[in-house]
Amino acid sequence: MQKLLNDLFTFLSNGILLYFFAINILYALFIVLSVIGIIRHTTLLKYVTLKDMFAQPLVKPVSVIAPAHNEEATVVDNVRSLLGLEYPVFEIIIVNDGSSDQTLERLIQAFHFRKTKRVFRKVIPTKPVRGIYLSPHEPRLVLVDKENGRKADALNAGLNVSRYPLFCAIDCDSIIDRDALLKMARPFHEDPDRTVGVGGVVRLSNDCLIKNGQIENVNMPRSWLARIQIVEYLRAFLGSRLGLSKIGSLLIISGAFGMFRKDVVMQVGGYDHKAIGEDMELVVRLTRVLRERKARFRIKFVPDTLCWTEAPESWKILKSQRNRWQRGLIQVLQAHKKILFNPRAGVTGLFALPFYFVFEMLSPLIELTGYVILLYFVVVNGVNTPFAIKLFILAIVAGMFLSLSAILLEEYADRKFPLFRDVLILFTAGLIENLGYRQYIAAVRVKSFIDVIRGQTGWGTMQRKGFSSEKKT
Amino acid sequence: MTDFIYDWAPRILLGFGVFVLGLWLFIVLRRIRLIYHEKIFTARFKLIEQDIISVLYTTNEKDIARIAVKYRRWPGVLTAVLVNLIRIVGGEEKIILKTIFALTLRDDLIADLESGDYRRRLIATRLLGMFADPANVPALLKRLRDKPSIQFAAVNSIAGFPDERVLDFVFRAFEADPNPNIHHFTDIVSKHGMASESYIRDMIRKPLPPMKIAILIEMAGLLPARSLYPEIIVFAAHPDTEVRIRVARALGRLMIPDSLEILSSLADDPEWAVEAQAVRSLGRLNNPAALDVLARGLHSLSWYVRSNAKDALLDMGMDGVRKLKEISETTQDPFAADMAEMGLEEAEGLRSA
Repeated sequence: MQKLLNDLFTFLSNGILLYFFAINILYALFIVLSVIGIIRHTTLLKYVTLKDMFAQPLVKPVSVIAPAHNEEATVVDNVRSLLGLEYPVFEIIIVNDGSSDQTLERLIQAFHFRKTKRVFRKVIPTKPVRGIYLSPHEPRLVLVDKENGRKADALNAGLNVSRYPLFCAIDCDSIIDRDALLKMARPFHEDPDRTVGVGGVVRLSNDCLIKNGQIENVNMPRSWLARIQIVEYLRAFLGSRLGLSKIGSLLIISGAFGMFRKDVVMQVGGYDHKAIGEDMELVVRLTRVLRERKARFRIKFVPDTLCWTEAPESWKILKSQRNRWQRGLIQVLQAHKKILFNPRAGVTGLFALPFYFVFEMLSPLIELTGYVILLYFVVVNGVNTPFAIKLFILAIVAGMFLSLSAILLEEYADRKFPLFRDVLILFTAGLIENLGYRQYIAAVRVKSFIDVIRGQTGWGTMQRKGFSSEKKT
Repeated sequence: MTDFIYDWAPRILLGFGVFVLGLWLFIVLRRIRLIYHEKIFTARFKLIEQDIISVLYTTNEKDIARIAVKYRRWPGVLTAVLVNLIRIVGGEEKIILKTIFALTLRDDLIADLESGDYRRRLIATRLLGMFADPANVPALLKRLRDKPSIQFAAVNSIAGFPDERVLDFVFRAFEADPNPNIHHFTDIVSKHGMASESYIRDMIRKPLPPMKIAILIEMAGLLPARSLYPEIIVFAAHPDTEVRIRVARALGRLMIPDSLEILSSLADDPEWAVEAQAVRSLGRLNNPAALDVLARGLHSLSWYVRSNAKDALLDMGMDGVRKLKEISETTQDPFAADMAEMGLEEAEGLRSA
């Protein structure tokens, strides 16, 4: 019996080793592609000012849609910050998604909103809209008050009310750089017929100095949990998504900040209100439908920092967030399993979706299986100690290689951390991430599988410190 | 497998370790290099800037040539200085900057337009747009078939030449292009303003495919070229929907009172998109004779037509508001009543704002 188990676990451990090499090689490849992407992007912006966009006679106006749910503490400051965005023509649609606190009242009071009888086309079905408000003092603002239906439903309501051909979906509690719309809209003006969606880099605002709703100074957070997440975000956005976009395989445009062509999104039925990861689901569905129609399209990734969000600094909230992300991923892959490994879906079916399936969705399960096998061999005294130690160090070094490469990419793209000390801190964060944090996140993500089987669809809690007009924390 | 890994693990480990250390060192060295280069760049930038400013107000060609020869060896810094200055100076000074550019950078950049390197083509397209003369336009027009970002740069460059000769090249390219991009050509033409009028007239009289006619009508409306009214109305009954939409839109921009009848007939077009555009344009004419047509638009089955009819009535001032009030109070059509009420609210909002 033990021999059988030994053979089985040896076979599995060989498989895990292969998986380990494959995942690291793929990520290394993405990093190479990202370097090319960043160098090209730097050229793209050479000798040009973004404000040239204002001189275009046929500039496409943008509707910024910001869903808000129970955000009474920060919503007014956030909307004021959005009004400072630089773009020739835009409107801001705040969707109060059935808040049970004073979100609606605070907005009405601050911007003197008045209820109107505005008529709109309900192209996408949503929970009932209780009222549409306009501000006589700020004509660019529209407030939609509706029954609670989660973020996707709120975005759909905003889409129904919006007037412009491009829309930008944002998180109401994120900080958007003043020129972010100009940077995001650029691909739509360069290639208006093919560009259907554009994503950008989202970074963490923890402990940054915020003034007038804008990041004034980028500081290194004091919490190691946030520091580790900075490395994670750099890896995800600069190391992975940019690389994936270079081979036409970008399937996630962050819900915190993404711009789309409204007509195309309307044609595919808007956001899926049942999806937990509505941002990824929309991009996958768009890709799927457009490929089915044999349409020529592109989904671009702009390697500029455009949006700042707050990372959880407590393990409890982090656990809830990662659990939700993993459940969202499982749900999307489940919903689109028909195109998984399907040659008719092109690169999406043959590479992008399988990549997310094998190397994103299954990775925590495989990692945890590795730990179980190790434990088994320790118990039966069958572990090859020198080999295990070497392999462990190898895993850490590989992880550090990816983290360090992401920091290097940041150097090329933005260099938001000018101090050597900060780079050293990020380097250390990339090292200690492997000693407990990674394993914890893997366990949390494995638990998501159980939650999916149990049918859990909730969002969990996400508390943010928020930002007021001026703050240094 | 295990044996393989066991044999190779130390080597892989060592390789990775060296690589990681190398990356770290690379980041540190790169930063040191950047700081050093920034210092040198700033020093050279100041030096070149001072020298160029000193010749900006002189007509001494020898001085200009001397500067060109002196700083040709630092093309990167020289370009940065020239780009910086051309954005803030005008008139004669601009010509001096262009002369320095012609003596130092132009020839290389013209060669770069045909380079296999995307980055070189992009930079060349941009810089030639800023500094070169209209003779370079045919080369830039070829870039309208390049990658999207280069196309975008080419449009901006071509549109930036304040010279009528450019239009000759542009319209020839338009005629030859089997699939012209509406954004590119309207951007270029609208930046040249009324100088484009005669070119549009000559072109619109030619037997062109409907797609090109639609673009030309759009251009005429954008300028707005009122003298092209007779040429435009010929297409009001064109079988192609896109052409009729552009006619309706252009007539709204030209705002010629005589177009009331044509727009009224377009407002009865079987295609809702033409109807919606015609209704919107009727509002811009501000002629009370259009009130009934617009009131009819409020009862349309299409939301867009109803919405545009409401906006058009609001454009017509008090007459339109009275019509909206009348409809909101008397009509049995709930959709028309809703739209009319929304219009009345907007009118009130406009007044209070």
